[in-house]
Amino acid sequence: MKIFFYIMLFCILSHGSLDAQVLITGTVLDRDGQSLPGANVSIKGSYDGASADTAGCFRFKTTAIGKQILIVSYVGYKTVEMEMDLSLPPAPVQITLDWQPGEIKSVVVTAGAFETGDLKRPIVLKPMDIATTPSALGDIYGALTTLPGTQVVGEEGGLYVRGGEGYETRTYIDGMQVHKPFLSKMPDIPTRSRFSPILFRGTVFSTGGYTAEYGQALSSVVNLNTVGLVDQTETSVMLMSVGMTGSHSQRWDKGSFSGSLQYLNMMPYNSIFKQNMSWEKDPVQTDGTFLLRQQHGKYGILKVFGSFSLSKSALNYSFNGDTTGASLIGLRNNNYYINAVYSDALANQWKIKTGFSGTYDYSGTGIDKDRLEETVRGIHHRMTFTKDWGDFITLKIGEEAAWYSYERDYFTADQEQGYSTDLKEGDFAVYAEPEISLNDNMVLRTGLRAEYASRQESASLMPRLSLAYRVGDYSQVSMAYGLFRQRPESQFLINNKSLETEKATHFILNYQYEIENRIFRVELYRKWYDNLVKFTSEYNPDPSTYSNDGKGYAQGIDIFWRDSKTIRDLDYWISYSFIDSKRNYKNFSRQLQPSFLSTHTFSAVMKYFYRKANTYAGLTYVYASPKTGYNPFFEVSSGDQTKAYNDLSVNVVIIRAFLKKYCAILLNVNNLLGFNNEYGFNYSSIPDAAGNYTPYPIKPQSKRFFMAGAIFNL
Amino acid sequence: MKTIVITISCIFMSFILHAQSDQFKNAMLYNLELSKSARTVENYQELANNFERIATAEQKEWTAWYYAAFYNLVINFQDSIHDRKMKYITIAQKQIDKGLKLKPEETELMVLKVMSYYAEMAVDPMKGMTLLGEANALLDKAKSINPDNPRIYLEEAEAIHGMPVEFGGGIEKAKPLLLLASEKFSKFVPADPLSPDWGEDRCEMLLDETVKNH
Repeated sequence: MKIFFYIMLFCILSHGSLDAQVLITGTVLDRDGQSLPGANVSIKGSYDGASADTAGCFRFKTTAIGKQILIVSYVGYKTVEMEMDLSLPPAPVQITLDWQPGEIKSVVVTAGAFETGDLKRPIVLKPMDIATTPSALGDIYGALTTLPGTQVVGEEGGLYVRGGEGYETRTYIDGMQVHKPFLSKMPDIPTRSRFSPILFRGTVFSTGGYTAEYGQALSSVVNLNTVGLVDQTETSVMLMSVGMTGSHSQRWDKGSFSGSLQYLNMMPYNSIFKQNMSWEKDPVQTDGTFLLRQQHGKYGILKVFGSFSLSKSALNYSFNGDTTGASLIGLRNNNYYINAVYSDALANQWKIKTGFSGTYDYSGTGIDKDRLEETVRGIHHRMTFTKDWGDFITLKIGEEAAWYSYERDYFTADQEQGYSTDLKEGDFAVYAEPEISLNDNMVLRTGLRAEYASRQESASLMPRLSLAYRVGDYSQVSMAYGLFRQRPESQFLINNKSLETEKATHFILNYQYEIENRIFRVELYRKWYDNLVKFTSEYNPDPSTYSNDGKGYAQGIDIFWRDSKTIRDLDYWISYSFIDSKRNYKNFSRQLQPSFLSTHTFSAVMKYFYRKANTYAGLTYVYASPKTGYNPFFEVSSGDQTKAYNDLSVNVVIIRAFLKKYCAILLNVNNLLGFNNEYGFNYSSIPDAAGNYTPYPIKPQSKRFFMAGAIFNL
Repeated sequence: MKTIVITISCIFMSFILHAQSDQFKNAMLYNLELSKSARTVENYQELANNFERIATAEQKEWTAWYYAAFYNLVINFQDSIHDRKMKYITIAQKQIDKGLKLKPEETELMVLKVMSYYAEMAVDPMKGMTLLGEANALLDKAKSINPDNPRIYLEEAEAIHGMPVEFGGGIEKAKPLLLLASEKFSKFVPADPLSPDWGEDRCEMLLDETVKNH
């Protein structure tokens, strides 16, 4: 009975103490002293708490006793935790909340880099933006050419960045090398990316000054990051005027699989719309991709990406530009690519990311009765470790090994056994790059990359440096410097295997202002090219006619503005680039502006959503100033000028309900206004009576291009 | 004597344990009661905060995350500033995901996730092209788990209702789904007093609209 009494007493006492509530009062403000109504204030581990009122004041009672932790949180602000001793009646507390870091106000190195996608701010282009840019027709590189620093090179396609040629841009998928990201091309017809933009969550497009992780690229790096685990199991079919695509995604507990198959045939389109080219066999292409994701443990994820594409076409083409004496060119291309990347967290906050990629590409070109067969094989491996020491230092170290082979067999009509050559390369590189926050406003990134090339049996060091400094709440200045090397293009190297790597030095100064959904950036740059390949003729197999004596420079200014805030449902971006660049390389007789360059490039992309009609409307306008063409012997001092390039492309995407599901209908017209564009010149091989080589302008395949498609979710 | 002590201690312990889950239930019921009189953004913010506090303290209750997310979505619908709307949606989605982590097969959370996708599309229409597909797949998944949850059909109907008539949408196109939802509502009994039990009024209201159209 006594014990029962004690228990009763204990109950009463403890109940009494439960009732002994403590009143907590205070205010929640931001750094500027503005109240934050609606902020959530609570005692950690209990229900007790309150919301701040319109004046930022809060008051609540709690039954908690002793030392407790007060948590204050508010949308868009850093959560604050503070210790409170509740054994004494607490005094009113004043809490100041800071902006959430990484949302707007953190400092990041932006010089040279366009981070696109939702990985990290600043967001410039999302995957859907790429897929719906009218001038790009779903081509990733096409959409990137609406950003400043790029050139419109209609007869080639690909990415020409800041005075660099197309081969100077390197493509990576999840950090792993892709040797042939473009479809094999016919002369004067632009190539496209092999990969669909919707496979990628984000793109890092660097116009220069990139990190020590990347080598073998003189001008630019495009890193495509594949999507993570897919959320849902779904199937979709897309019907287009040029073919069809089917895709399926399957999700399971710790992994997912997505696959797609596509068949494209230009025959129906080319038979309806008149082409400037004479196709003997219209392009036909079959391709497919798959993505496999599997989680492992708490942080580990394995990503496997694979693709294949098979294409064929044949064209009547005159190498000298005139219509007489056309040759029949047949093209066949088989490409296979696979990569696997594993990332995980290790002990002591170290993180690992490692993977490999393999490329096999066969390209057979028939020119009348001659035949050229080219085979590229490549293997790439990379391992990177990163570690954060608080918010102050992030260290990245890694190694990279690559093996590459290029085989060329040339068969002429009269001689069955052809002329065969091959090239094998092995590279090994190590890199280390600490990123140091010197203070809240300054970040310094110092990278060093060491490369060893087996062919030359030589090693080289490449320093990279960047610095970002915050000058205002929404603005920052950054600079980047770096030394970059790339081995010469295989078709030259195969003729002279002792050619050295080509060199470029970048210096970039960047200013960026970003607030909510508006971004403005200006970039000034200067590039020095050295060790470029020079030769007398591209096709001369005599090694002594090749050297590394080429030189050049590029300098200019890039301006970018994007705004999706001012007008509801309207999103637009504007780019302007000015470039001054000259080179003396290849078979140039002296230092000249390369013929792929336009001094001024302007582009505007606009997208609007008509809510009432469930319709997206997009518009792209591109202007590029005239280009200069040179005859094969560079005899005309001034060269020949093309017309300025103008293009206005539009598209609409209509979403409508269809059999209880949805479908999207797409209509796209390129060069709506029918500008007569010229990409450059081909020259007659023999001079006329007056000794002049006649220039023949290179024109688009057709003046306008129409595309219609419908996507169904099943 | 010893037995008595042990017995009493046991009773006492069970009283404490019981009291704890009662504390959760009472707090939830209190806030659900409070929600009936909520009208302003301040009211909804208060509710979202209260549910969030309960969810954080409890760790194991999906319903608390459900209502916290629900009221963050309500705030988003009432707000007019683009950036802020998106922030509330993001918070709601994170809360829904926390709930789904506790109970991955909960169709109520799936329906709420779909609602958050619709909210996201309203703010950023460019996302519509990808989100519509995800929303559909999620509704299909919910149907395969619990075909008797009326809110699945109500949400499906909402999307069609929101689409212009010329584009295959409109109230008439949504009617079969609304009738189905209405039938499911009449049979629906929530698993417990804390489980979601809303939408019947909205369903009837939309059905009235179809009648007025005639």
